[in-house]
Amino acid sequence: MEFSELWFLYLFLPVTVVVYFLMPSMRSKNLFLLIVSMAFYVLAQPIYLLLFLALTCINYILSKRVKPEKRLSVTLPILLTLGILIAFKLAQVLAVFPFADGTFLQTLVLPLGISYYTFQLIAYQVDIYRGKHAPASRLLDLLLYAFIFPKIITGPIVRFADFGPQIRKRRTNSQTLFQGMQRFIFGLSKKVLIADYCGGVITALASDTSGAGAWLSALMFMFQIYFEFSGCSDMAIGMARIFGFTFCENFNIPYGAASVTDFWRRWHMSLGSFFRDYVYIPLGGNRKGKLRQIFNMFVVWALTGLWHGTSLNYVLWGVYFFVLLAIEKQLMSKLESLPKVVRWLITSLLILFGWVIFSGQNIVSLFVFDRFGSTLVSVQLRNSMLLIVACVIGSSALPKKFSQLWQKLSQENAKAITFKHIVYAVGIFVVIALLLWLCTVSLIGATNAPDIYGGKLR
Amino acid sequence: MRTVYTILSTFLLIAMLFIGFKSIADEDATFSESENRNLKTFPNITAASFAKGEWFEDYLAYYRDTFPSREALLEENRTLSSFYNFTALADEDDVQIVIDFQSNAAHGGEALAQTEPQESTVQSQPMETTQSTEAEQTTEPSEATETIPDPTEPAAPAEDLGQAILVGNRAMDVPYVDHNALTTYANSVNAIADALGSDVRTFCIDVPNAAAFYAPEEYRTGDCDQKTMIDFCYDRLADNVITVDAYTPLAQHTDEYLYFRTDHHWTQLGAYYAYTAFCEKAGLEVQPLDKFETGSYENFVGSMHTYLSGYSQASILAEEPDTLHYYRPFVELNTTYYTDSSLEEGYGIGTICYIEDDVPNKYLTYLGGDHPITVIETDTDGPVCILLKESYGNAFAPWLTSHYSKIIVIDPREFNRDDKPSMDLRQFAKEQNVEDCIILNYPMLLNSIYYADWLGRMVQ
Repeated sequence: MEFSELWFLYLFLPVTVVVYFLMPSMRSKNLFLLIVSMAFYVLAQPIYLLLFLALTCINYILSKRVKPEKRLSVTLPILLTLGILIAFKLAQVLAVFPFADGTFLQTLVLPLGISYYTFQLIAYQVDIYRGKHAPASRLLDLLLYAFIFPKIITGPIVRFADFGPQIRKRRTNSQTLFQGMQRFIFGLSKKVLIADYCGGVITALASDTSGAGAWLSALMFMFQIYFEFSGCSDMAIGMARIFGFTFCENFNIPYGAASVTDFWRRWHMSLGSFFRDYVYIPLGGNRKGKLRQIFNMFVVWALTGLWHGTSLNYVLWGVYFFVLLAIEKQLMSKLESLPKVVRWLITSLLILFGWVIFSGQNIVSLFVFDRFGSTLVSVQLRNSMLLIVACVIGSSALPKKFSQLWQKLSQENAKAITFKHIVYAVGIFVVIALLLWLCTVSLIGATNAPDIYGGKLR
Repeated sequence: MRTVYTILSTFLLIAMLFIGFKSIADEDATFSESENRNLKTFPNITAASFAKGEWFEDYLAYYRDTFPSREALLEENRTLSSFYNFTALADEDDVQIVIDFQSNAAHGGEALAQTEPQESTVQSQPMETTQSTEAEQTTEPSEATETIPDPTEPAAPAEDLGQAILVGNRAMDVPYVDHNALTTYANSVNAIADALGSDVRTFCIDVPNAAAFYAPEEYRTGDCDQKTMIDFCYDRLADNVITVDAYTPLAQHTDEYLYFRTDHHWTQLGAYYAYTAFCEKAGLEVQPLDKFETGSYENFVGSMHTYLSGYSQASILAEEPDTLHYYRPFVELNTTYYTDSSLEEGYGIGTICYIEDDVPNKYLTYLGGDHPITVIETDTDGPVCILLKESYGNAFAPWLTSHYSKIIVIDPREFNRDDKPSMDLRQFAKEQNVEDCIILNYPMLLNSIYYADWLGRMVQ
């Protein structure tokens, strides 16, 4: 189930929010959130609820035995949690082989959110081992951390060190509710009003074999994945805010990056920091010589690829970025002498090639020059002109700057409510109401399935 | 300031909740006029379907389909789509819209009417003209419920058949060659010819559609070249199948009104040129057009508008509708349609039907649309023929009335699959003393592997 389901928007979310605010205490609010999150999971994928419940309970018990700086104590919960992730991923790999025909491997479904779920539990155990926080004092706390529905599908990967303290002490009021709704609807709009339409252009170009078609497809995929993923993160952060939680940011204008290194500091930041803190640094980082550093980078990027999926394109995508980053590290001083706009262009092009690999599109198709153009591409390019403009503006720094300006205007003044504040709030309200309306219209439009043969050819 | 936030948040939540409660409390729509399809019904729940998450997926699809004011929101979406399909800078003759053409669903679209199953809105009485002598039955069966597809019917997956394009004020479905489907189709025709034996002449008429003549070059050449598709199919037909070249006479009259601009069908005039080619091969004398009484229906906004009307650019089709000109047979007729091959349960219908002004789908003029079997009995002193066809055959059938005493029009989509009735064409043809079997189809279905299969099942 996606957060952009009409059922979620008009039943699940508003009912949950209203009941949540009617709960008398933080304890009851947390309990309610846990129940609702489990219900969300049960509806989406009931069969794995017990598995995740058991895994969380075991992690809770084992975390009590984890002692700072006693490596053995943390090994078992990590192996167990990682083992489950690897088992499911391995099953996916094996399912494509002939010997898997007719076996359970081909019907096995990857548990919803398993990659996020397991990584958070691993981070939880390692951080106890590192002495960053104490084990969860109550099972309910760990269950809420692991299951809370805003982040269960697409993250971000939140650390218990950040989440734990908020369980009992956080601010939930009309302002956080309003801010949360605002962020959620902005995220929803990114996904529904931009990403989904970018996907539509890619689908329309599927039969096109021209070089220009391949470039346009690649460009639209580059925008689609950003608006889809960052939109989902915004929705998660927004929903968390509604319930008073503050989640870490996950994207920071990644397509404004002027180097590949910079891009990965801005793209899926919670995953990047996870691999940095729990793989790269434990492996030695850059502290054990250049060769070891390159090996460590290779491990991180191979795992990053595998984390996204087990098929070859994801692994190649990870390795591609390993190669780019390794080269960039050697040439960084020379690259920095180039004008920023040139570095940005080169980086954007390299990122686009990366997305071509990631999407499984044949990269050679970009270099078909003998039949470069086609009517279909001309039509799609012309028809998508406004969408592309929206994508360019939406992925630039402009929205952030605009948002900061509005926030500056809305700085709460405890002493007086000025007309300016009200205009700000009402202005935002009108915008989010309009966006929600447009998203609803678009979601309904997406269900449109005219049948020219009146069902006779089905 | 919190008071302001409280008011605004409350207002937003109440609005969302109101819509949410309305979505579960209001009466569900069951059919979408604009999309010409049944909407999803509340899914049955079983322990297994729930455990696999399938039930909830079905429920979400049902929820989307029955969302309050869905039809009005589809209308709004048309306006929104103009942002995503920006054609303000395009020339009038440019291709405005290109979308995949599937056998059932595609993004975008709202219709003025159902394209096929709308018999309930067609009057079964013949038009009151002095020429018409059709003695129609006036039985009033619940025809609409018979022809509207059953949502519980096992559905074949959507099949990509090509593309739908809008150029100027003309929308067209562009077929994309599928050699496998074409070969299967040819094999099915061969199987029918073999099954019917040497006593029955089998004719194959592969008919091009509008895109063959009016689409931009890219959409009528290469893999979209309909002449090549037809030749490919004809090359695979056995010697006992008589091929009819309908392409050439149609190509010679492209300045005439051969195809509708808003609908995927040909006009009856287009069918006439195919009929002239058929007469030449069948050894029949072509009846001149001026022998037929004519009439017309204005404001025909057809199926291509249905398919594309999710796009604001398609509004030109509604603004510039087609006119349907019919040619009424001059012989005495009695036309009846049946739900199965037993020919026991018959309902009177017109060969050229009267269409009410408020029925947008004027193509229902011909035989009242598609039926499993339609039998046209005439006072002509001629043999019996079978016409195996999809809806293109409906406009063709009236031309045959001058030559055959009985024309049995059969829609292969309505037999021998899922829960549809069975039919043995071999046996049926013998019982009816059939001498000619005409198989007429248009290119989208020539390239449909499902249709080719269903055609073959007529003699399996």
